[in-house]
Order: sequence, then structure tokens, then C-alpha cells
Amino acid sequence: MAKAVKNIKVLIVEDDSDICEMYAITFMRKGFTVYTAPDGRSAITKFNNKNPDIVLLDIMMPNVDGYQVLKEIRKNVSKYTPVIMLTNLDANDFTREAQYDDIDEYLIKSHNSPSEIVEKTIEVLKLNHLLNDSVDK
Amino acid sequence: MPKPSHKQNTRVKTTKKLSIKLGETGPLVNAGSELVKTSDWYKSMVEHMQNGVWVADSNLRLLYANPSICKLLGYTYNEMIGMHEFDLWSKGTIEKVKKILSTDRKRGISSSYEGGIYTKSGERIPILSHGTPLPDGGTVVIVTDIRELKKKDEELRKSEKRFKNMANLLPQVVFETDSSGNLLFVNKEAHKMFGYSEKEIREGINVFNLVAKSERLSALKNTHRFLRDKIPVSAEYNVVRKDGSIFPATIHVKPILKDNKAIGIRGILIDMTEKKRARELTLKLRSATEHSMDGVAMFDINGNIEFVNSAWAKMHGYKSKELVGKHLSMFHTKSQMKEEVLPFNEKVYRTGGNQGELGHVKRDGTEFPTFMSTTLIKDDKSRPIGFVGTAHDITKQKEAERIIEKRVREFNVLYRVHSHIRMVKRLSQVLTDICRDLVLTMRFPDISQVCITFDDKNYESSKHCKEFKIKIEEPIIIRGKKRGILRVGYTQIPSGQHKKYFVNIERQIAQTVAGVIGRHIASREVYERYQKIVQKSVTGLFIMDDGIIKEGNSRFGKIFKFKEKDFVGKHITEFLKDYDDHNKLLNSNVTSCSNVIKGRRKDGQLIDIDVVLQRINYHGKIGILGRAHDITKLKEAERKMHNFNKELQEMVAEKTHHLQVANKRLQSINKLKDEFIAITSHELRSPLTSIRGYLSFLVEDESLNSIPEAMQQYLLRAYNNAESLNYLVNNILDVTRLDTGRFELQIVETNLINLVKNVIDSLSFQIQEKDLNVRLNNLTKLDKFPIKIDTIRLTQVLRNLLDNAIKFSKRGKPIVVEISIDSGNAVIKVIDNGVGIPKSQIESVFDKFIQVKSIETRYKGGAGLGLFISKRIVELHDGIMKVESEINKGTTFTIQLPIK
Repeated sequence: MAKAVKNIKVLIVEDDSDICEMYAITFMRKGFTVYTAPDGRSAITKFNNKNPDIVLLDIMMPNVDGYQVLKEIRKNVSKYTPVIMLTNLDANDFTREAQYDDIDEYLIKSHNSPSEIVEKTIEVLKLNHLLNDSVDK
Repeated sequence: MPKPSHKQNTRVKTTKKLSIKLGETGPLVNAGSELVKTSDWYKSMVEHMQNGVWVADSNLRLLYANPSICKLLGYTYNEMIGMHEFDLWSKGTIEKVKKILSTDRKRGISSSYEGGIYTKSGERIPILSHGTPLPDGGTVVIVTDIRELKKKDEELRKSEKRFKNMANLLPQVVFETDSSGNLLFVNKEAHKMFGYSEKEIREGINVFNLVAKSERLSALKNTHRFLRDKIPVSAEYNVVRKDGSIFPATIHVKPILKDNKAIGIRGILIDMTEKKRARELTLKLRSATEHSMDGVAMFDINGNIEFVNSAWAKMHGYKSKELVGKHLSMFHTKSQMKEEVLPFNEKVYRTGGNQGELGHVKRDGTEFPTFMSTTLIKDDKSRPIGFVGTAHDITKQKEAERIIEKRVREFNVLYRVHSHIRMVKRLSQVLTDICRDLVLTMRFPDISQVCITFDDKNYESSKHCKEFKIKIEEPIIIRGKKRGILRVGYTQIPSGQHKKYFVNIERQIAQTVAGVIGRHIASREVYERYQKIVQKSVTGLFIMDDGIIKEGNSRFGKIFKFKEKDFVGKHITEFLKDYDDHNKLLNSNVTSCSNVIKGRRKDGQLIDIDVVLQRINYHGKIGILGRAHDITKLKEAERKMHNFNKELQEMVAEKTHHLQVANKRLQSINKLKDEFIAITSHELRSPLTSIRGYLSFLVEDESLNSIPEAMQQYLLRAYNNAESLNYLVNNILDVTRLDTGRFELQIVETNLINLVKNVIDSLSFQIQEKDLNVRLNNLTKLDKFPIKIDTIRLTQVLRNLLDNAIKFSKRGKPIVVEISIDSGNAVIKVIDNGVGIPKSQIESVFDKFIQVKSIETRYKGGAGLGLFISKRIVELHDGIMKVESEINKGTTFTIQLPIK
């Protein structure tokens, strides 16, 4: 059920407002519909309310962290929502708490520029047949 | 027997006299009857008769008396007439007459009786009267004065007494009987012989009752015949004593005749017991002699044959009849006579007898050995009158003796040999003893010698063994293997011995002895082997019977501190305190059992014994074989071990606790470390992310063009340095993880070709910038090369290598990335044609914080951590990373990864 880019709802969960805004700008520039959440709790609320097509999820956040959010997202068995972990923690740290199988991509923020993040997200969306293959990166 | 017969004669004469006397009365009675017929003639005869005669009437009144009676009684004829008879008779006679009157006289029978009659003067005269009844009732009485007769009778009685005394002296029985056999007289010998008293005989015993019952009838018949024929006879009867015992006797009897009529029997009886026995013995002896197996011959003093039995005759090949009268020399050869018989007989004459072996010769000339026993026969006056010889043919005996002698010798040898082969003696001693004793059993010990060679050692009967003249060799074979030789023989050839025959006997002995020695050594070796095993055994072994130790090895003694064999005969409970398996073993199907129990040593100390008991057959009885192990030390060690183990466990538990605590602390430290690194990387990266992110917006072409050119340069420099800082931070974080061991791989299966392509693609900007030619050379010809690796980390490695290659390559130079497979490894090579690495530095190229420095390369940025991290990542994949380089020619980095 491929959609047009503007119909793709991206939920960016990021407690650092600078970084959050930076990614939001980049995604919006590409034409995505962007929702942001500054912490885990609001992320879960937004996920349930906005029903996003894909979630970019930070890990280290106040109160409810990324692992708990991932757990909450994966609780919904009626619909699979791709999740890209977008964090500055190494994969080692992630695997101590969660599993690679539950996510679609693991990206380290400092290794990638915002435009690279969008490119990787489009790849994931295409793999999940949420976006037409014709859409350019 | 002249004496007895003489006596008998006397007795017979006496009896005759008596009978004549009695016979005289007969004519007188007859004369009485004649008187009636011719009274005058008879009257004058009566008048002149010497005997007194009277006639009495029926009232016993005298009618007539002759002058003789008148003269006898002193009465006148007139006085006598009219007298009553009873006035004349003595009192006792009156009684007799009265009796006669009432019996004989009435029947008209005359009768005689002795009596007494009184004279006128009152003198009693013994008389014999004969009364004859007359037809008119009167009586004629003839009275004879028997005073003279009585006197003679007295004399007779005396002589009879003498005769009786004489008869009593006779050793034979003398007896008289009446015609029907009632005993009238016996001598004292009869009492002695038959056991009857005088009184019993007087009261009447019939001689026939003395004859044994079985012969009584024939005795009666014989006696009847003999009394008829009236001739003396002899007969043999078995007679009976009063006590019933029977003995043989010869009886000589003669009838007692009176008027040519037999009125009794007179005889003598001789006890034949001894004689009969002697006679029977003689018969038996004769029979025995005749039937004797031995030859018996009787010779006169000159050596002429008087008698030979059939055995003698047969022995020499003759018949007994044809030998009588011949000389003994016919039974011997000339040389036998000279050498044997004459000396033999000489001794017979000299000493009265001789016995020994004598050679004889048969009729056909064959000689044979006998055992002769000869006795000289002498007459009453000790004069030799001949000799008796018995000969026993000992041909067979000699043969048997020879065989027995041989056997005895063999047995002797075997006995001696067997007596030596006891295990207690040393083998050398046994063999030497056998040698010595074997010599003694040889027939000629003086010149014998025996030698045993066994296992190349010599054992000899004497120290100075000479050369054998006659030698028998027998091998000593043990379990089929010849181990030695027994040599038996003589140093000289004994005179008169045929060598061949002679050696045969010794050969048999030697064979037997060699066999015995062989078996002995075989069993000795077996025994010694087992003994060694038993004695050297480190297990105490013992055998007990009924709880008593019967045997045991030295170890058993050692365990209980007993000296050699002192323990034999002691009860098991002296050794094993709580021994109670006995009944279990003996009374059930269990044949063996084992137990660990307390034992007591001789010194009283208690020790631990591991004992195994087994039921065995011990000399046909149930015995028990035991094996005992002293496990005191083992037990002690066990106890120590147990204690040690306990201590160890406690210690381990304590240490474990400490470790657990430490581990917990370490874990918490690790966690802290992990958290520190995570937070550090997060906190360091977050601002960098913002810086780089926002700068990236600005360096985009659209925004970059909207700002003045000078500003553009500032912006680009800031962006590049932010990139460098990001790279440095990431590398420092990686090094920290590697150093703390917190570096973990996320292994997933991936396509190596794609991975390499992606890395090259991601660097296209830098490549284009330096106008480099980066080529992927896929030698595997595969589109997909699946491999299990940490994709992020390996990407990092390849990127690092390519970064370096780009950094150190001059513009326009080619870079090749080559993928190949080599013996189970994926090989990736990054080959550049750059400045190269000096040899002096190539070894430290993978060290931390090292950057190759030279005039050519100068400082190219970076902290020198890339290759260090790359190598470690490859190694964490169990791979190898190598470098080859040549200055100004280029460098090749090679990665080998195992294809899992």
C-alpha cells in the first residue's frame, strides 16, 4: 500500500530540541508529514494518536527511554510500524537492552548527516512497501 | 602183659576148688531116694556115711539118726530119737528152716542151707544141711560138718582179698559178672575209670550199661555168642563213664565156667583213648606223608632207601615202588654228590640234622634245586640207624625269588629316590642324594657310579668320578624338553656278568629314576613358581579350617607382626576381632564375601583389614581361603583426605563467596563502565550531531551560494573540522571499548560484495575530489558472497583502509579492492600506489596512536587509531590483517576472514 511522500507520517522521537528540529526540517523539506516527540511518554501518546508510518526513535531520553517506547510500539500486533533507531549510543549498548529483530535500521546520529538519515529512512519505507520505488532519494 | 594174666589164672584155680566142694552134695541127695527102695543096703550105707543124716516126721520129730550125727552132736541114738529138729538148730537156722518148710518143702523140693547146730554140750557147729521132703510128709536131712570147710573158706577169703588187692593194683579194670552181666567184682581202677563208688557197684550195675548205647546191642549179641562158644575173646567198645563221657576201650573176656557151663564173665578192660589217638595219629601221619607235596624219603644208615613217598618219586621222575632199596646217589649228579650232598650229610651225622639247598637230578638228567631237611634217626641207645629227608622243589621259588629280588631292588631305588624328592631340600642336594643312594642300590655298589647332568650342572655320586666301563644314559625330560641326563653305570665290568643281560636291569632302574626326577623337577618348578607368587604377594593369604589358620604366606604374618609361621594353628579371631563371616560362608550358597574389619596385631595394635574370604576345598573338607590387606594407612589417608576435602570445600565456599562479592562489584563496575562509555559517547556525540547537522544545511549548494564567498570558506572549514572531531571521538570511543573489553560484535549474515561496493560508493566524494580510480576486482566471480560478520564494524574497517589509501595516494593514482577466496577464508585486499610505509615503521603501523611520519606524508590528520581499531576488529572476527608496503610504490592491506 504505497503512499505518496506527503502522505507518509514520520514520528521523530528526540529529546534534544536542536537535533529534533534539524531532522524535522530535513524530512519536511523532502515533503514528509512530520510529528515530533521530546520524550518517551509523549512518543507513545503521539504514536497511538497520529498512527505514524515510520518512527525514528532516540534511546537516551528523560523519563521513558527508547527501549520502552519500542516495546510499546511492538505491543501492537495488528499493524507493523517500521522503527529506525536514531541515537548516539553504539549498537553494543542497544543490544544489551533490545533486539535488532524488532527494528528496521540502527543509525548513529553523529555518523550520518541529516540528509543521509532521510535517505536511509526512504530505503526502509521502500523495503516495507510504504513508498513507491520511483520516489527519488 | 605177663603179670595180669598170671593173676587171672590164680583166680580161676580158686574158683575151681570151690565148685568141686559144692558139687559133692549132689550124689548124696540122690542116695536118699535110693534108700527107700533098698533100705537095708542104703541103711548100712547111711550108717557108714561120714555126713550126719536124720529122718524126721512131719512134726519134725526125729525118727532116725545115723551114728555120724550122733557122734557129731554127742547124743546117743536113743536120745536123738524123738527130739524135735528145732531143739538142734541154732536160732538163725530155725528161721531159715521155717521159711523152707513153708515154701520148698511143701512143694516137695529139696533145699540146702547153711546153718548152725548145737551139740549136746551146747557147742554151735557150722553145718551145711540138705533137706529132702519124703512122700509121707517127713524129711531127710543130711548135715555136713563144715568146720574144716569154713577154715578153708577163711583161707580162701584171705587169698581172695590178696587177689583183690593185687587186682586193685592193676592199671586196667578187672571185673567179674554173673552170666547176665551184673557186676560181681571190680577193682579200684574201675572206680577211678568209670567214676562209680564201691557201694554203687555193690548195689548192682550191669556191665552192658557201661557200653555206649549205640554199641550195646552188638555187645549183648557178642557176649551171648561168646558165652555159648566159651572161648576168651577181645573186643573194642566205646564205654560210658558215670558222668556220661565216652572213651574207647579194649575188653578181654573169658567165661567163668562151672560144670562146663558159663556162669559169668571175667575180664579186663583197657582204656584205649591214648592208644587210639596214637594209632590214628600214625595213620594220619602216614597219610600226610604220602600226600605231602614235599618229597619224603627214609634211608638206612648207609643211604639206602627204605621208604619214599609218591611226591619224592614223582619229583625225581620215578615210581615209589621201584626206589626202595636203591642208594641216594641216584638222585644227584656226581658233582652234586661231591660238592653238596656229602658235606650236607656229614653235618647230619655230626649234629643230628641239617637243612639247606641241595641240587638234585631227575631221571631224565635235568638238575633242579631243592630245599632239603634231613634228620638222623637213632635207636633207644642213641645209635644212628638211618635218616629221614624231606625235599622241596624250589625251582619256581628260585625263579620267584629272582623276580622278587629284582622288584625289591627297584622298590628300594624308588623308595630312596622318593625319600629324597622333598620340596624342603634344595634341588642340588636332592640330585646329589639321589646319585649317592642310587649307587647303593646297584648290584655292585663298589664299582658303581651315578652322575646327573641337569641344566648344565653336574651332580655325582662321588667326588672322584671315573670313566664308565658300562654306562646307561637316560634323558631327564621336563614338559617335553630335555633338560639333563642321568648316567648310571660301572667303572669295571663285574666278573661273571653278561654285559647285555646285566645292563637291562640297571636300564629299567635308570629309566624309572629319570622319570621320577623329571616329574619331581617339573612339579618343583611349578611349586616354586606358585610359592614365589604366594610368598611375594603383597596380599596376606591364608587358609583356615574350622576357624583355625592352617597355612599362610609371609605377608599375612607381616601384617599381624607374627614371625614366620607362628600364626599357624591359631584361631582366626586372634587376628580378626569381629570375624563372623564363617557361618555365612559355610552354611549358605555364598562362596565368597569381602569385608573391611578391624584386625589385631600381635603387639595388640588395631589395624584396618580389607579381607576377602572364599570357600574352598581344603584336603577334601570345606576350608576358607582368605586374602587380607592392611589398609590402615589407606584408611588414615582416606580420613585425612576426607578432612582435607572438607576444609577445601569450606575454603572454596568462602573464596566463592568472596569471588561472588568481587564479581558483583566487578559487574557493577562493568556496568558503570558501560554506562560511562554510553553516556560519554552520547554526550560527546549529541552536540557534534547538532553542529554537523546544521552545518550540513549551510554547506548545501543552495544555502552556500546565498552567503558571501569569504564566509563560505569559513563555513566549509568549520564543517570539515567538525567531521574530523566526529571521527576522532568515534575512534576514541572504539579504543576505549577495545581496551576495556566492552567491544562486542553484532554478527549477521551479509553479502560481502555489496558491503564492499557500498563502502566504495560512500567514499565517492573523496575519490572524485582527488581524481582517483578505485576499482573493485571480484576474483570470486560471485554476485553474492554470504559471510557472517558485524557489518557496521567491517564497513568501518574497510572505510578506514580506503580512507588511508585515498589519503596517501597522489592524484590520478589507481586503488584496487580485490575480493578472493583462499582455503576457507574470504580475502579482501586494498592495494594502493601511494607513498608507501618505510620498513622501519611497518611493524608499528597497527600500534595505538601511531601515524607514519615522513617528509612525504607529513601530518595527514587523525589520531592514528584507525589501523589499530581495524586490526582488532578483524581479529575479533577470528581473522588476520596484514600489511605489505614499499616506499613510493604503494601499500597493500590484506584482510582474511573465515567463512563461517
